[in-house]
Amino acid sequence: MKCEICKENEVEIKTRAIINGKIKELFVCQSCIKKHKIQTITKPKYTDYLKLLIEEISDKKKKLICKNCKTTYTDFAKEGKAGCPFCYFYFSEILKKLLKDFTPPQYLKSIEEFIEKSNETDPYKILKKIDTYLSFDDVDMAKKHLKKLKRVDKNDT
Amino acid sequence: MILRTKTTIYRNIFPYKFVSKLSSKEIEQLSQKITKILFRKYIIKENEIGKKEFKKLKKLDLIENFDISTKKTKYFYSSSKKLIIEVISKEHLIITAYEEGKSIEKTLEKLSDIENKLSNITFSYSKTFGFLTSDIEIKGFAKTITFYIFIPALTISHKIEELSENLKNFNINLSGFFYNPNPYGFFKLKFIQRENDYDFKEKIENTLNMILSLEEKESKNYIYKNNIIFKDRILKSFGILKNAYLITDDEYFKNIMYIIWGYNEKMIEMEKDLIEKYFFELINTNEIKRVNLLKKINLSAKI
Repeated sequence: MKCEICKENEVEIKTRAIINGKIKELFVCQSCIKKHKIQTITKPKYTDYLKLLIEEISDKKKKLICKNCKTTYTDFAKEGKAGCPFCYFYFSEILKKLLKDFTPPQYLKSIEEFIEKSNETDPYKILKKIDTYLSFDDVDMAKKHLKKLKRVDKNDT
Repeated sequence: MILRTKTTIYRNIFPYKFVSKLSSKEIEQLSQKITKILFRKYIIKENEIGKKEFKKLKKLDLIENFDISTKKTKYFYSSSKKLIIEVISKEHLIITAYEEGKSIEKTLEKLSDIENKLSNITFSYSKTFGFLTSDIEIKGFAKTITFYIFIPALTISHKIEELSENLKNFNINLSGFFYNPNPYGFFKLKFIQRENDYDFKEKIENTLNMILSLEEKESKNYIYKNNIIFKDRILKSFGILKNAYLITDDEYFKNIMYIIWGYNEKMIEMEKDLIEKYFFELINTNEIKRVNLLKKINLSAKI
């Protein structure tokens, strides 16, 4: 495609640019971008979005903290790094703003199920958890759940 | 020209914290547990990759975590060929499959085999966010595909910057391989998966086709305008690579650029897949061995 401004240079990819206050997609060459001082838009990274969101959110939310690993929302947004899987839930409200048209890949076990069942009293489900920990050779966690299972059993009887 | 395809998946084990928040004791425990499973599932057979081998992998950009000063990360070769596993690296588990040339399906297949073997591990995964990683840029599919491409004409005509800027609009990263930016035309094109498999593959195909056709056009244009200079550079490079006693990294890149370019333009003759086969091996060696290796390659000029 020829550049839509100078009609001379060949341009292969459309550029997103701000023209008269509106975002337009057009074929424009680099020399025209420089010459006419066109403001182009590069899709920001997630981290850049998060940095923008820090400005937007209230002071109350800025104090958000992941109770599991103590990562603060401000640190999370500044560095784009999460400390643990639970960070995604403590900061989910903000993160969801970044998820437009996103369908996650299929996977059997989800962390949501774990959270829902964390105050488990169903002996069968505890047993299932013990099984998972054992399959992962996590004897300590299996023992902890075994104790829990015994407590549930006592209460039932 | 596509020299190599590298596909990487990043996984974390639930409910453990991500690597930066783990204590040294937790790191040791988790590292032992993961290694044990990898051995038990026959995913790894050999021992850990040593320091010498690590340097080679680092040079070839095949591992993610280049900081071994902390001694946290363990590196393994998988029992299946061309597969590298990092335990407690940037994430709990990073698995990289690579193949010479363009090989999306084969690398994906290898990784999917490993994932199937690890199906009884509970990875940190959310119904909303997908696979959870410490680096939020890769969360979701937690999968990247990198192509090592050779685009000398676009490099020489200074079109890389414009191309790289345009690709950023689509969240595709173009950066130099070995040197950044690489003045000899060797680049990495990195895709982070954010869409379903079908759309992702289509995005990759379209982008690769676009870049390669741009390169072809630019190459023809350059050769037409600089015919004698181009032939002269090819023959000079041919002479250096064939007759030198020592070839440094810089000399290798500078001269192999014209040999591969000449091969693409049918001015240099060699076995069909020779460059794909030996290009990386030739980087991964010292100045003397490199000369000996080059002497074994059947190169002939057709100019």
